[in-house]
Formats: sequence, C-alpha cells, structure tokens
Amino acid sequence: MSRRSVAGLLIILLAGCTGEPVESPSTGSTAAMRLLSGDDSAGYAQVLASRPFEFPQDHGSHPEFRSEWWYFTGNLAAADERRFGFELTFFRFALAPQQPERASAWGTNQAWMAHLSLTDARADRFIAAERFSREALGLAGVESEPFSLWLEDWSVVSEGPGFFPLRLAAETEAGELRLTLTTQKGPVSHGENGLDRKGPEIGNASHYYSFTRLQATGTIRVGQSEERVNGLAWMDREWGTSALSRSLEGWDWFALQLSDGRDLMYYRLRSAQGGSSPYSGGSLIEADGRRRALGPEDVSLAILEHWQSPASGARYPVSWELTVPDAELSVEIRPLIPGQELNLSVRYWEGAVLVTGTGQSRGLTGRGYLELTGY
Amino acid sequence: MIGLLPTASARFYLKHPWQLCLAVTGIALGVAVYVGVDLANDSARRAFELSENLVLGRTTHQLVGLDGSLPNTIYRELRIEHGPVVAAPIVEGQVRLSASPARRFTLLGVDPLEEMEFRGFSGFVPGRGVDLARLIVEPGSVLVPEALALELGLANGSSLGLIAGGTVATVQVVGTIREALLDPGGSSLPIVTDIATAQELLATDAITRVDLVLNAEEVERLTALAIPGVRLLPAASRNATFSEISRAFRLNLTALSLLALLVGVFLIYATMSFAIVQRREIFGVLRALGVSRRQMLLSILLEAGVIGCVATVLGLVLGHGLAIGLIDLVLRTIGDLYFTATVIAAEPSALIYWKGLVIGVLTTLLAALAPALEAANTTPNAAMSRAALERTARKYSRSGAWLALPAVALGSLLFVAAPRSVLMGFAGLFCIIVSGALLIPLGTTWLMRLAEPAAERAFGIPGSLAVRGVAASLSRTGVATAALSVAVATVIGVGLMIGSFRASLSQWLDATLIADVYLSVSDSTRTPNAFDETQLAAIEALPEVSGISLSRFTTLPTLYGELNIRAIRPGPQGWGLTLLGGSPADSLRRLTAGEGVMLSEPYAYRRQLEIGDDLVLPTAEGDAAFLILGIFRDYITDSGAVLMPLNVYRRYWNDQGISGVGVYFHDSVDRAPAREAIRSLVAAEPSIRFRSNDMIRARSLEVFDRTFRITEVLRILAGIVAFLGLFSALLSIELERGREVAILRALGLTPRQLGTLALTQTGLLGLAAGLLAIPLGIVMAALLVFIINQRSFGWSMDLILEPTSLLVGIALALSAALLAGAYPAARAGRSSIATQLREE
Repeated sequence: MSRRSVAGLLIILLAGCTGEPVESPSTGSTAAMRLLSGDDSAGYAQVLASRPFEFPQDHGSHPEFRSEWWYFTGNLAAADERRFGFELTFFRFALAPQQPERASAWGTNQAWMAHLSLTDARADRFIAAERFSREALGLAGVESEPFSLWLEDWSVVSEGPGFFPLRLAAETEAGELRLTLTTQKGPVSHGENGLDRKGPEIGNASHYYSFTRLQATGTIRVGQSEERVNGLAWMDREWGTSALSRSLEGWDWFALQLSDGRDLMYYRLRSAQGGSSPYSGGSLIEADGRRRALGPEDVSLAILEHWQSPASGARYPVSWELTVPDAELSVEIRPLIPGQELNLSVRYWEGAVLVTGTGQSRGLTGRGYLELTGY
Repeated sequence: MIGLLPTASARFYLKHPWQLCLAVTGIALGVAVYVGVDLANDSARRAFELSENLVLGRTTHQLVGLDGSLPNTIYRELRIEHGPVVAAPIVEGQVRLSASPARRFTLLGVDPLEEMEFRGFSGFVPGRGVDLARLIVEPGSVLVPEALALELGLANGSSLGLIAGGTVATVQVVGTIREALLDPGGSSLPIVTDIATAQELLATDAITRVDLVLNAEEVERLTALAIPGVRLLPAASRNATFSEISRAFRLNLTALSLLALLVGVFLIYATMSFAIVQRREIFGVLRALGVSRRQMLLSILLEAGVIGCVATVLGLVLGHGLAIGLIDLVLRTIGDLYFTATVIAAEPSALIYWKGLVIGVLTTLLAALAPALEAANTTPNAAMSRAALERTARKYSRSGAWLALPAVALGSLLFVAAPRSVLMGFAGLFCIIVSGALLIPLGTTWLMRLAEPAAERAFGIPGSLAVRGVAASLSRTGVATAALSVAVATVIGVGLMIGSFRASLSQWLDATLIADVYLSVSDSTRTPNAFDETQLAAIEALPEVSGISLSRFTTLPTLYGELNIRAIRPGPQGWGLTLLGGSPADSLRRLTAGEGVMLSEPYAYRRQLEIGDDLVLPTAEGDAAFLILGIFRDYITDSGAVLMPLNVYRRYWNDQGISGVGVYFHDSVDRAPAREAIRSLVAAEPSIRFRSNDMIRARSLEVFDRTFRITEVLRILAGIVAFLGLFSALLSIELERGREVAILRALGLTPRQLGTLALTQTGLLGLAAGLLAIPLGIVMAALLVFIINQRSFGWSMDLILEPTSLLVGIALALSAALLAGAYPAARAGRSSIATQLREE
C-alpha cells in the first residue's frame, strides 16, 4: 500500500521519534501531533486479510482501526493556463480503542487532523495549513450516506445521493479551495484486493483504494485573487492500525495521470540503509480501469534533481526518472515549483508535478502528485 | 606619600571600628531597604504578568455569556459556521482537595488539541512523559501542578479526591504540569483536565467561555452576529479592573521603595560625610605635610569607593534576604485582595541588583565628595578648624530652606494639574516630603532657639550649652536630622493612614452589617437555587426573627471588566448603605421605588459617573440605561459594584435565584440561641454558608490587617533606618565635641554633669526630629488618604488623627536618641582633657 497509508503512520512515527524533549515549552502543533502518536496497537482491529470494499459504507469511518485518511490531490489550471496544485487531507486517529460512556458531550476517543496546501505556479507561491479537532459536538467526523466529511469548516460533501459529485471546501487566511469532483474511472483496490502490505509483520498492512482520475472544477484562491479552474484530481483512502516498520525511514510516492489515459501509483519505501524495501509497490491503471500490480522489480527510479528547503534545511529529491519497462513507460517527473514543503506538525514535501516522456513508443505528458517523507 | 594616604585611612578605621561599622551599616541598610522593596515589587509585577499570561495566552478576545456560561453549541457554530477563527473552549471552576478542604484550586478544562495549537499551554507545560491522549479519553484524568504532586506524593496513576460543586469526586493523575519559566516554588497553577472531564466534575453541560485570537476584521464579523445572551469582549477587559488595580497597588509599592531609597540616600550621606568630616584635622595635617589637593581628593574618594562597594554588596545580600520575606507578603496581599491562589512567585530582574549597586556606590561617593572637596580645598590650617565648617553648614541650611518653597509649589501644582493621576499624586507627595526635609535643619535651629531659655532655666549653663550645641553642629546633624524626621514622618504618616482606613472600614462594617445572620450559597455564584420558598418561610416564621432580606449577587461582563451586581430586597433595617453626596433619604426612597440604581464609590470614581447620570448595562433583552440615584461607600471590592432592588434585577435579567439571605432578630432576642436556631434550620443544606455579622466583621478586619502587613513591615523598616540615622548623627556630635568637652571639664564640670549634658543634647535632637516629623507625618497621611488611596482604589475615607501614631513617632525618635546618646554620654566623662585640648 501505499504511501498514503503510510502517510498517517509515518506522521505517527515521526512524531514519536523526533526526540524532541517532551517538556519543551514551544509546543504548538508538534505537541498536538505527539498527542496523536500512540504506538500501542493493542485493542484495535488489525488488517489481516483482504476483503472486498463495500460502498458507500467504506467511504465512511472505521473507528475500530487506529488511523484512517481521506486524501485529495490534484492539478488545476485557469483559463489563461495559470497552473495550480492542491492537497486536502483528513486524518482520523483513535486515541483509545474504546469510547467510555461520558456524561459530557465533549467526551470522545477520536481525534482529527486536516492538511490543506495550495500551489500557485506563476506566483511561485505555496501555502499550507492544518487543523485539529476532536470528534465531538459535530466538530469533526465523517458520514457515509450521504457522504459528508468535515473538520470544522473544512469539508468534503456529496452533492447528491451518490458519492459523486463531491464538493470540496477549505479556507484559510492565505487561500481558499472550492471544487466539485466527478469521477472518470471506478475505484481501484490496491495490493491484494485492497490489502496493502507494508512489511513482513502480521497486521503491518492497510486497506487501500483510490479514485485515480477525477474531473475537478471550481475556484481556487492563493493570496488575494480568486481564479476559476479545471483539472484532474486523485482520491486515496486508507485505514489500518499498524505503524511503519522501524527499519524504514520514509517513502517516495508517485501518483501520475498520463495523457494516454493511464494512471500510475507507485511508492518506494526506503529502508534506513538507503535501499528500497521489497514491500514497495503500486498499480498501473489502464484507461479502461483495469489494474496491473507493480512491484519493486517492475519499476526503476532515478533521482534527477534535489531541492533544499530554506525553512527546514531538508534536502528533497524533487525530480525523478521513472521507468516501467514491461509497460513501455519512461517518464521524467519535475515539480511545478520546487518549494512545496509542508512544514507543519509533520514535515513532508507534497507537491504538484509535471510529467514528460514516452509510453508505448509515443510521446506523452502528464500531471501528478509526488510525496516525499522522511527527509 | 601616596602610600601614606591609604595607610592613614586604614589606621583611622582600625582605631575607630565603630566609625567603620556605622558607615558600613548605614550604607548597607540604605541599599538593603531600597533593593528589598524593589525586588519584592518587581517580583509582584512579574507574578501579575505571568498569572495573566497563564490565563490569557495569545488570547485577544473572549466570548462570554451574560449569565457566566455558554452552551456547547456556541463553540460548534463558531468553528463551523463563522470560521475560520482561532478559538479554544474553556470550562473553569473552583475545586478543593477533599483531604484538606481549605486548599482551593482552579480547575481548568481545556481541549488539548486546540489548546496546544492555541497558546501552547503558555505559562505551564506538561511534565515529562505526559500522555495527553489519556487526558482526553479517560474520564476523571487530570494533570496536577508538579509542586502539588511532590507535596502529596502523587505519581501517574495516583488517585486524588476533589470537592467540586459540593460533591466529592476521585480523579486520576495522568501527569503533571509545571511553569514554563518560573520559580519552581510556585504552587498556584491550576489543575488541568480535558474539557469533558471538567464538565463532568463541575456537573455542567455548558462552557465557561471561548478564548479567541482575532484580527480587526474577525472582530467586526463576530460582533455583527450579536448572539443573544453572548458578549464578545477584548481579553484584557475581563481583567481590566484587575490590571488597573494591580497597577495601582504596584505603584504604591514602587512609591514605598522610592521612599526607602530616599531615606537610604539620607542615611548613606549622613554616615559617609560624617566619617570624612571627623577626620578634618588628620586631612589638615596631611595637607600640611605636603599632600596635594588632588591626591587628597582622590584618596578620600577611593576610601569612600572601597567602603561603598563593600557596604553595598552587603546591602544587596541583606536586601535579597529582605525581599524573600517581602515577596511572600506582597503575593499574599494580592491573593487576599484580588483573587485566590493564582499569583505565582517569579524571579525578579537582575537589573535591580545592579541598580542597587550603582545607587549604593554613587551615593557613597557623592556623600563623600562635598566634605572631600572641602578638605582638599581649604588651607591646612582652616581644615583643622571647625568654625569655618559650621559657618558653611549654616549657610546651606538657610538656602535649603528657601528651596522648600518651590518644592511645595511644584507638589501642589502636580496635585492640581493631574487630578486623577496616581503617578502625579506620588510625584506631588515626594515634592512635599522633599520640601519637608529641606525645612528640617532650619526648623531644628528654631526649635533650639525656642528651647534655649527653658533649658537654661532647668539645667543652667549645661542646659543652654546642650541646646546651643545641637544648633551649632548642623554640619553633621542637619542631614541626619532630616533623614530621621522624614523616616519618623513616614512612620507617622503611614500609621495614620492605616489607622484612618481601619477606622473607616470598621465604621462602615457597622453601618453595613445590619442583619444578625447572613446565609449565602457557598462556592459558586451560578447555583442560586439552594434557597427554596418553604425554607425561607420557615426562617421567617421563627419567633426570634423580625424579618429577612434577600439578595442576588452576580457579575456582568462589561467592556470595563466584570461588574458586580448586588440585587437586594431589604429587610426591616433598610438598605444598610453609607451614601456619599446627594440627599440620602430621597435617594433611598427612589431606589426602593425602583427608579434606578446605586453605584459603589470605586466604580463611580473609575468610570467618572455621577448621581443623575445613566449607566448602561447589558440585560437579557439587550442594553438598557439605568438612572444613577446615589453613590455608596463600599470597601467590599474596589473592582466596582452596582446595587439595585431585587425586583428590578429580576425584571431585566430573568433570574429568580437568590444567593444570600440576611436574617434580622427582634431587639430583645438573645443572639446566641437565635443564631443556633437558624444554623440548625439550614444545616441540612451543605451548600449554604452560615455566618453571623460578628464573624464577617472579624474576618473583614483580619483580611484588612493582613493586607496592610506589608505596609507595616515597611513602616518598621523606616523606623530602623530612622534609628540608625539618629544614632550616627548623635555619635557624630558627641565624638566631635571632644575638645569642647575637655574645655568644659577643665572649667570644672563633673563627668556626671557632662554625661547629663550629652544625654540632654541627644534627647533634644530626638525630640526636635520627632516634633518636626509630626506636621510632616500628618501632611503625608492626608495626602495618602485623600489623594493616593482615592486615586489608586477609588476609596474615600476619613482622616483620623489617632494620637497613638503621633506619640509612637515622638517616642521612637526620643528613645532612639537617648539610646544612641548613652554611649557618647558615658564616653564624654572619661576622655583625657589634655589630649582633647591639644587639638587646636
């Protein structure tokens, strides 16, 4: 599974391992992150076997698992070809396996976090924000039918009785996103029928499905001016209980939408020694929606360029060459702008990318999102 | 020759250890008093800031309910419908430890997820290894202050019994909190818990407030919502009254520390200049031996510098010790006066020590400079003569007296020009004190001139000699007497002020506590239903009872801070108000008729409201204007109160609750059994507090006395400074008069007569200082009562010239004088005539 999956866990992992002294007074959201970073999986359900996804129920919450997320990313363009990227993600964390009976309406065992990032290529501007809340008093939560997902005033809501069209709305002082998403392909189950292994340990896996090609239309505001935009978006869903293996230091995750109608998801789990974990993997989704599983032996990756964050000093490999020989695919992946680091309670690089290359002997282009963690 | 000078200094002090001791003690004490008070004051200031910061964090605004609480849904609406906005919900209440119910803590219920982002637990941080997830998930889990955990031996997982809202609950400790930057001794942090647990412990389904971080545009947006029953207030305003008062309190302390400095400077000047003047003849000899003026000057200043440094360092150590005691007093006073157990002791700024060092050394050098210049500039022969010195001193004392006039003028101008400024009040007070000090030497001369005929009649020539001796030795006595008089005047003035205040309070308590028994709902202002109709009827039906009064005490959030509302249905003895100005009978009649409200004096003063003005209050149906019918004296709180008939309150605020009942007995009834009858009637209801008027009276005066303990301490310090100042001045005179004594002895006076002469002289000086301190002390008291207290707290009071305070002043001066005179008196008879005579 993937990267995303890991994203939540990694967040947990990072938070638990930064070695920051607990009594540091400069708490802020890092402390909030620590709060969400439990390590004990006892009492939670575990992902042990594959199972067919059931919709719309599986769009909703699985509170018996420790963590869960809804990831939306996409590349957008205004009428004048001005390019934008966005990420809107909701994380749910269980603070304890069970919810005790509480007299207070504030009582809960579920906490939520959401991230919003917006990229404006022309202005070379990137903004990122996060929110935290508890699942109480209707402050945050998810309902599967009709679908509604929200953390305070950030939300993803079905417009009608069906899951799609979905309406995304999130606003911060620096920017705002309002999109309607419709899908062009059905849901794709990754791994073994939706069971995505991340390591050799039992239960070190997640349930993972995606909508890899969503038509997006709406408005975006980065700074002052609001633009009407259209583009392609991607949705990832994942839940589970396991933590990332201690032997891994992070991952590089690719979600690419190619001009020939194919979509590619691939994550490379990096071991602490610098190599790739054999549990790296992904999916190549044909234009008609058929999926082909990808393992580390199917994909070769090479770093073309690094970018160093002036804020954190971290050095991220932001340009790549990716080839899948069996699929006759060879592409170069370059960021829309290099500076797309989310320096929030969890620090990672997640940004819009442009794709150029060849596929089945023909030239192709594409868009996508790249996530780099553990740097 | 250069080596000779330090040797001469060293030899002098070795031969006169008393001299050195006096100089060092004088300087050290002067520095210590100033530094001690300043340290305590600074620490109090920081404690205020930290306590405020602890409560407020980054908060710019607060959303509060008119009735003191908000529904949960308000927070949800705020976040989801009116966002984006930075907000954190708070549930706050008081709890007590079940093991020691006298120990109160604030229970602070927060949402850790919001809280950490919001203000990073500013002021306190979770201790090592705190699992905040448990705090949220596990009911009844709390974080306790580290100091409390240490004291009670609480570890993670320990149980702790709390009394919240009248019931006992057992909570689990899942971690500690501690101050981020503060002194680890502070033990006034809240008990922190999750908002859900706080609601459960306090048995409420509401939140206390929502803390917000808003910009101007968001303020406008939220204000425009105008949610009924809810007010958006600047965060500072909730504590506005508090900050204002704490500022006034601190200013009072600063003024006291400046006064201490003033007295300290006098003391340093007196002792140091004396040490130099004493050796005029040695300097004369050295000059005669060929020491240049420059060398002379440098040598004296070097000596002063060394003594100044050593004594100042000693003073800093002493001041530090003093501050430790004072800080405790200051914090306790603040806690007593303004809030319970949320002031935290703080490390004072190191700057104060440096300031003390500079002031100590500089003052010593300056004090030495005048006599040093004199010693260096006069011819060797003149330096050895005293007549020249005395002439100069007398000239200075006269011109000093003239300077008193502009000082008085400036002081009066400051009072008049800024009629409400506390700072200007103090500035004026200082001008008056300085002018008083300038007049003291001249006053001493005059007093001596008046006393001379009487002294001559009583003691003959020795009496006359004693009186003239005092006036003639002004070079040493002038400054010391001034220091003494100012110090004694402070003792008198502050004593009179406290006495006046206490008498006024006592009188006011008599006028106010007109019921025999007061019943109130304890622990909370928000649970007003402890009294039911049948119970009230039962009380009223008792044969001893002539009637009852009902009251509802609550607070309203206003832009000017929390306003106390006292809604009263008076009993058979009427309102029990002491009205100021207007026509009391008419005002009370109109109040009873429901035509308006009355304001407490501090509130009227602060808001500059007068009888006949309108007061706008937030009511259940929006803002409403109330006619101000009168202003009443009120020492209960200086944060301000509005009094109105209970039926008016009920009409405007839809609140039928009663928070207090006053019970009146028939005149003929025996009080003690009647009280017991009432007590047994309400014993079944634990939340009702029973207090007799005597208990309240005693408790009020006790709080008053504790509040002014810090002032008392400073008064005693001023007394000690006065004693030392006098002591050094008298030693100065007596030691200086060696030759005169020798002549007198040569002329045939017996050692016994000489001793009497010395004692008479010191006694006269003490008496003069004491007498001169009386008018200055009375003026000080008047200024403190009518200007400083009024401006600081809005309290008016009557100035009562209690003779005890005046007598204490004179007695202090006189006894210090006689005590200090005893040693020179004894010495005077023993000295060798020949040696002393050879001087000239």
